[in-house]
Amino acid sequence: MNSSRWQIDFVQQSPGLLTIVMAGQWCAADNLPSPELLIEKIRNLPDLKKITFDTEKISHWDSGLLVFIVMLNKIGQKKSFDVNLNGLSKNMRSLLTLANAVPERKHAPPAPTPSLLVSVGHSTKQFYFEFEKMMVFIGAITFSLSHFFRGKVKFLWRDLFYFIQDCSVTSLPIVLIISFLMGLILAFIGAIQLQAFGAGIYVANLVAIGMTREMSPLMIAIIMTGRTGASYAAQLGSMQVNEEIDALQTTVISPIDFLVLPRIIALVLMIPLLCLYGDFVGILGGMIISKAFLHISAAAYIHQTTTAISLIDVAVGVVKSILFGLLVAIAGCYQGLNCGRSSDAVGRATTKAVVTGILYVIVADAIFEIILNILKI
Amino acid sequence: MKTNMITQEKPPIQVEHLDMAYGGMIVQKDINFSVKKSEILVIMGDSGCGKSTLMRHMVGLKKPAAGDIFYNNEPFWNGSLTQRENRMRHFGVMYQSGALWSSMTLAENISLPLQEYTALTDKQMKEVASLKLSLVGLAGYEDFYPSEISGGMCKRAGIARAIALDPEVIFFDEPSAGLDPISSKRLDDLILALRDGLGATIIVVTHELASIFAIADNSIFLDAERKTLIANAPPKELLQHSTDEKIQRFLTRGEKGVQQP
Repeated sequence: MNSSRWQIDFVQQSPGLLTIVMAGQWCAADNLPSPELLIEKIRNLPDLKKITFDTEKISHWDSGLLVFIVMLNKIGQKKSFDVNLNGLSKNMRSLLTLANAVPERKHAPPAPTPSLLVSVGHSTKQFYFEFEKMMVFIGAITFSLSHFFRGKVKFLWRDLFYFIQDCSVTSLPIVLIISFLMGLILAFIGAIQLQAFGAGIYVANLVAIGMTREMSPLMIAIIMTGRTGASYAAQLGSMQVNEEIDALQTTVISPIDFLVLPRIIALVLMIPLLCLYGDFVGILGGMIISKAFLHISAAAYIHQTTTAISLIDVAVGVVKSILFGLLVAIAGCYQGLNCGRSSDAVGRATTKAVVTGILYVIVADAIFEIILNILKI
Repeated sequence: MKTNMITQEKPPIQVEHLDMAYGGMIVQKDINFSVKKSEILVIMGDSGCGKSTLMRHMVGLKKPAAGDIFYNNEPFWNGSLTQRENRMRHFGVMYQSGALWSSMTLAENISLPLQEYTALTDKQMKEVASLKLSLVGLAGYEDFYPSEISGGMCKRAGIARAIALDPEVIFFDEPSAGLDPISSKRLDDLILALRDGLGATIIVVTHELASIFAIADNSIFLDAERKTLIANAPPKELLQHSTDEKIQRFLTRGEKGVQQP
């Protein structure tokens, strides 16, 4: 009688009756025997009709034992002999009864993997469907904006101020670092090339035009996608999970008016200011590099900068950044409102908001450049 | 006695041949029932049968695949959007988790519907909010944010918000799920009091047996397998007279209508 480890014994009572004597400790962690053992055993017992158990000497057991018995039972059903559970203790039997109370669910066979043609068609349909939904969303925002301008504001001013603060003041440090470094990088690249021609002073032109027209709006849009766009998606997504958006709808308050509009207005109002701030800091970064490596005086650099750019260049950057801000906010809010109903879905919505946000920004930038080129601005 | 009075006019809520589907997958088919004024109707059924989905159709969150719901003989989904929104203003909905707006305090949560649809002053709104909160046993919690109170309290605050505008129809989605027996009983009493006090018609999605027998005037039973409504009667009658095995098992916690192995 060893209580530390499981023991199993097969006792043949008669040609048709086999008793399984079990003893010791039968726990899942004890490396229990496989039911194959029984199959091995009964291979040479063609007349077997019934199996009984003797479990009196089991000192300790858990669901490992139950699993073993359930598996024996299944073998019994397959080989059509009777598995009699009367030899088990009362507690074991009652748990087994519970396990067998509800018949196992029959799973439908998994759908066959669709052919390439079908999945391409499906994705195309899905793409069209998404596009239509996006257009409806933009239409709803336009309507809501007209409500806003007619003075029928539905959102809380407190919310608007909170979002304005969130995408302006609190964004300044990251915009400072990125824009400064962008100006610095532009100056470095330019310095090496331009010095070869003895045209080092033109670094100022490169940095000024590069920052105001292109890098500042683009970099800030990308920062704001990761910062604000993602947080919009996460906020609205978790409100969706928590049924808060449903609650707004049944109170007949449009989620677009109440949640989306203040977020879009805040970002669209603040992003041009961030863009101007980025212009300034970037040019400053370029000036420091010119001073340190090209020995261009600050006064000369500033003079060269003022001749290099006009108000148009700055305006182009600002208009771009407004457009980018709109796209980033729309991408974030759209993904948030269309979030599924699990915490996993919130994560996916946030990722999608960032990915689509950056995509929209880059595509819009390219289109914008082409238009500017045609208009010769 | 009540039935005799009402037979003259059509019941205020009628669901006719309603089909519910997600994508192309039918959840429930051909649902027909009606709710009388000031009646408490319980929607029962096992998990995943579409109880909450039915509620989402009735409150205007999900469009039916076919059929319609009539409120005072007006089609809810086949009518105009304005009509539907006007109707929805007379609903109060309590969601499973409370669904309080997390950026607002409890008082602000209750005030928002008031702000939208009444001409009350700020001070009056505050009074109303306090009254509604004290009705659900949350007096003194006006300035708490939803994240600062427990789940059960969120549910009760959700009820306070649902009754902010003294709605004609109040919907409850699993009000007592996850509550202790005493809070659950208190909630049942509150539902009865709202019906008696405000004369509201109340529709409750629940599978809490004690609540079902305590509050329901009438009930419907949705079946996930047959995908339709299989009974429409007061739960006590169903318990005594229903011959359907599934309903018997449901109402007796599986003690009747099933062969114990």
